[in-house]
Amino acid sequence: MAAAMHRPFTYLTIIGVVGALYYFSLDLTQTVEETRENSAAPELEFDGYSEGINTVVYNDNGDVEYTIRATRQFHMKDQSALLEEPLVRFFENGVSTWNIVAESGLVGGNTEASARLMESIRLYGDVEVHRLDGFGNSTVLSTQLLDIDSNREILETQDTVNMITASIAHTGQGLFADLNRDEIHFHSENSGHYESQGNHAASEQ
Amino acid sequence: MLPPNNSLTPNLLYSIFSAMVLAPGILMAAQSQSPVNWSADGELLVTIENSRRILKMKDNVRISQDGIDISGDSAIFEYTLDTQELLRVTVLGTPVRYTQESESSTEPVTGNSDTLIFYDDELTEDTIVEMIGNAFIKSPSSTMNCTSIIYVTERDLIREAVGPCQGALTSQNGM
Repeated sequence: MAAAMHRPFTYLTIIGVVGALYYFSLDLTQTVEETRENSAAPELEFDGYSEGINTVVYNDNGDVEYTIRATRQFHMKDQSALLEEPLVRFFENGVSTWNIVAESGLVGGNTEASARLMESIRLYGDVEVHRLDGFGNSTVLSTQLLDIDSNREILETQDTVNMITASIAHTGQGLFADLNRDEIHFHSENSGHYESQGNHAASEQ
Repeated sequence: MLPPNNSLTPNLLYSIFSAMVLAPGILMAAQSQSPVNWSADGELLVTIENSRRILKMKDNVRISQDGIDISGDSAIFEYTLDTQELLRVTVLGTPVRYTQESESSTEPVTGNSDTLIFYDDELTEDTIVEMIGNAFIKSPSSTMNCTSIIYVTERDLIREAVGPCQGALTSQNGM
């Protein structure tokens, strides 16, 4: 008798629990879907692929201005090109002056985001800029992201940049370099160290 | 012993300081070719001017070499292009402040001026500090105010001074 009296209450409890579970399961599913949407990497659609590319750009006089090499190139649907292990070389009077290597790079494009890159190359990952002067002295700039304006021969980044020469080790935040004028500006937070090459030689002996 | 703040001719002061610094207990100073460190909050420009590699930096510039510390508003480092050796450093400030640790005394050598230039003497390889404009230097044994002062760090020696000058010697020199 008592059990029969409690039966409606039991049914109501079961219905309530099932309803609550259903409600929360819907909410959970929605959250998971939202998370998936948020975490999904932007799809990079390419319509062309090539290996071992070598692009040579000439100036008005017919001299080589710069070259771009890469182990692989993916031509994207937005008309940009994704480069693997790019090597950008600038020339002056037929002589290679500045060589720039990186893990990857992005050139050109016609989307809003890539329109700014039409005449520039953005390099990513362990970017190294090598310069060998007329005396055989090496200068190496290294950073993680670098924009190259290939027409104006300008390098720019807001990242931390290290500069190493035979006698100087320097670090600064942000860089603007005019390769034609052989000028390098570090924006801020500069610190460096000079050691005579004579001292280097002595310490290595 | 001279009373403090006596006005002296530069030559007389120069002679007195030269004599003092040859006494024992001279300061430990930077060695030629010692590494140089720098930092600056503002922009740093690397360029080539007059066949020299130039580093120009500004805003809260600090430079150190061994026991020497220099601070100022801006600085210019000049290097040879071929060997990349540091030729000289010019520091501007309001004022430029100079500190040099002393081996024989707890008190450092301190100084300030409108402009400070330091470099290695080509012949002696001593480290030379030129303080130009409102130059002041204070060592444990003396103080000196001049229009400009040329100071040899390794010897604690004022090699040249351009007047008008004022100076004082302390009694601990036994003079």
